[in-house]
Amino acid sequence: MPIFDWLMRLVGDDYLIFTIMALILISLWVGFRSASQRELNQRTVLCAAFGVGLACAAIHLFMAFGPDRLRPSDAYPALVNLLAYGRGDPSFPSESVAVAFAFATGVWLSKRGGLGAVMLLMAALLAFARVYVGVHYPLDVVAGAAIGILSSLAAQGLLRLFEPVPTWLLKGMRRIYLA
Amino acid sequence: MLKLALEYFLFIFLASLGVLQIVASYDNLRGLSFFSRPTWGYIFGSLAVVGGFSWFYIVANPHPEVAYAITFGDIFHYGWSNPKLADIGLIMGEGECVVFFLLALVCALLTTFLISSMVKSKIAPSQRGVHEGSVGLEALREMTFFQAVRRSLRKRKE
Repeated sequence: MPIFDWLMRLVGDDYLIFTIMALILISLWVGFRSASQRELNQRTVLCAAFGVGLACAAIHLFMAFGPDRLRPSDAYPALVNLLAYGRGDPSFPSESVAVAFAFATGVWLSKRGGLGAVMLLMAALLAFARVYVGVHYPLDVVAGAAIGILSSLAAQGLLRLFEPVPTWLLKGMRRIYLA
Repeated sequence: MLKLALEYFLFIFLASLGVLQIVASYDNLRGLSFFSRPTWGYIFGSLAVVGGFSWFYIVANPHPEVAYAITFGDIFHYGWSNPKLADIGLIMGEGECVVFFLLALVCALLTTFLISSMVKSKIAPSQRGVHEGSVGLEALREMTFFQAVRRSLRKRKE
């Protein structure tokens, strides 16, 4: 199925899903109908962005100290039909899937559940595509998803714990008309 | 690498500009919008977003037809020790994407502030019932970014 292969290659690439998710966050940050909605939207964006930062940090720590798992196409070149270019970095865990799930969970945890559910679906599609094109094992994307979800949960907890800080940040940005 | 980075920058710049115009039209942020009618904001924004994605994926084509692809981050971490060097291409890594995404977003915001301030320079904030206390993006419903900044500076002097 060349069309399905092409679609999976597009969905599983390094840009598409992240760009769409980041554009959704921009629209959440800027778009609001009331002061309470603005507060909710901008805190949602803060939580998602902080979650992504935590997910990236966790993945890089894992890659630095964890097992160096070869990509499926390198470990089983005769078995895996690689539809995208190969990568030299460790396969486990999937950083792209972790980032996508961190974005989506950050939005889903706020009161924007519908949008969060759509973003979680996009993240799941990315995870499937990454396995389909042959750049990850299923366990890599499952671990990536778990790290992304846990990172966003941790981000939400930390933002609550350090509560005056996000409020100060938003107030500061409002003074210069950026929030 | 530089070519791909510039193409990515332009793609994000166009898409962000489009999203800002769509949101400004939808949520009635008149000080951010380039147009007096929301419909034009939707049309311009949609064209910018769809055009940006189409151009990046069809014309720029970010998928190198190579067996292997590496990022600057990979080179820094793992060096050029991979045995499959003959057929190798450079792609943007996550870190590089974040840097160029933020740069493009800042440029899109500045462009939006500049163009909307020039186009809407004749908005008279005091005559349009602006709440003097409105802060942040809320203030841009009835005045442009530069009018809002001027108002803040004037308040400080008082």
